[in-house]
Amino acid sequence: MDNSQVLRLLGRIEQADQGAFRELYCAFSRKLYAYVLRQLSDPAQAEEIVADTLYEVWKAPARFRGESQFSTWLIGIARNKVLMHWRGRKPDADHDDVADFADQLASDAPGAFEQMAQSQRSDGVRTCVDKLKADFRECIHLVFYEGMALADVARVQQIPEGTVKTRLFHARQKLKQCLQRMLAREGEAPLGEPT
Amino acid sequence: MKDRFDELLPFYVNDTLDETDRAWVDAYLREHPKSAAELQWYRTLQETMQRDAPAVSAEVGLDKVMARIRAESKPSRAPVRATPGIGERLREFFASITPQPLLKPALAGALAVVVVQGIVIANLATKPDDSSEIRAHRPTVVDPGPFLKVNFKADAREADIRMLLVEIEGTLAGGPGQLGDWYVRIPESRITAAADKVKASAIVDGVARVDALPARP
Repeated sequence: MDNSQVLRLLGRIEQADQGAFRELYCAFSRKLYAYVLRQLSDPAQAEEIVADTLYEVWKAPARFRGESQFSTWLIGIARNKVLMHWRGRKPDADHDDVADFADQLASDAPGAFEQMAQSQRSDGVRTCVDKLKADFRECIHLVFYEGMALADVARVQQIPEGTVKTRLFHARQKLKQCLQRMLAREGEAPLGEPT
Repeated sequence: MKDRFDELLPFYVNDTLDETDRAWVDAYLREHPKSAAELQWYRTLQETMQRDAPAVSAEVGLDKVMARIRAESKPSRAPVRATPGIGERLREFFASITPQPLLKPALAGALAVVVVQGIVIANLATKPDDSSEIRAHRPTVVDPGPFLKVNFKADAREADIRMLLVEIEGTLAGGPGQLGDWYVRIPESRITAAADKVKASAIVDGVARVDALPARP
């Protein structure tokens, strides 16, 4: 759904048109849910935040003025709610775990990409993405799931574009090391040797 | 060159690069065939993340929202009824946040104060009092400025006004006047930035700095 369609629906929502709100809701809820779930790993809480976020649209549809993609704007609202949720929680121990074993591995072993590309281990990718630090995980999600451009990622994360690039670089390193570690554990390929 | 390739590659994969950068990456990949593995790795990552999207209904959470919508009353959103003015909506808001059980004791308390004050005033009026002239000239308490005098658009909603006040960390000092002027108190150190933010708001018709509130009639 493009911005012009969104703005038309928002105009109807301004007039308390519940049908228009349902249509908008269903068009964006899945992606929003995927984003929040990636950040929180808690389906019930993710559902709550999706509902809260879209309820804000119902309350104040005129707040969106079409200056960015609607989905980008929506993720910005959901992100604030995720941050509010995190303020009451302790840091996830998993993230420290990734940092720990990332340090134990060579940062750029030869053949690593070949191993990863050929192994096609989607379960491993999922596990390793989930173990990334929240900022890195969010960055990876926005780029590879949402398909956002660099400027949009920077806007959502409220950081300079250079920092987005840095986060992507480090996220890639951590993912690569995590996947190498998994492969080594399972004996599928020796670490650091091209297959 | 490798650094630039590393920076551009994620956005090459998600297809958000402009033509120039895309052509640059294409050329780099031709010159460095081994880098194709990196490209493939990112593509695998993207495919995996797309494929792993949670299987959830598009109506996830919708029932909760619709229940909230049905539960709330939205007189200001009713299309037929004339919308109340900003003052009325703010009065309704402040009335809505007043705990109802407190109203009766508060009213009784206010009446008691009025009665006591009446007795004191009557007592004073019957006695000669040399200090009354001095008291009459005692300076009144003046709200410290500066203020922003703000005129909101006719269709500005109370929720948006409140949100704007929160954003600029301002406090409502007066208004609306006969011309729809609202006065918002802002610390001197932030007044310029606050004025710029208010001016940029879509619900504002005009904003001006004033150093004092208008004299009361």
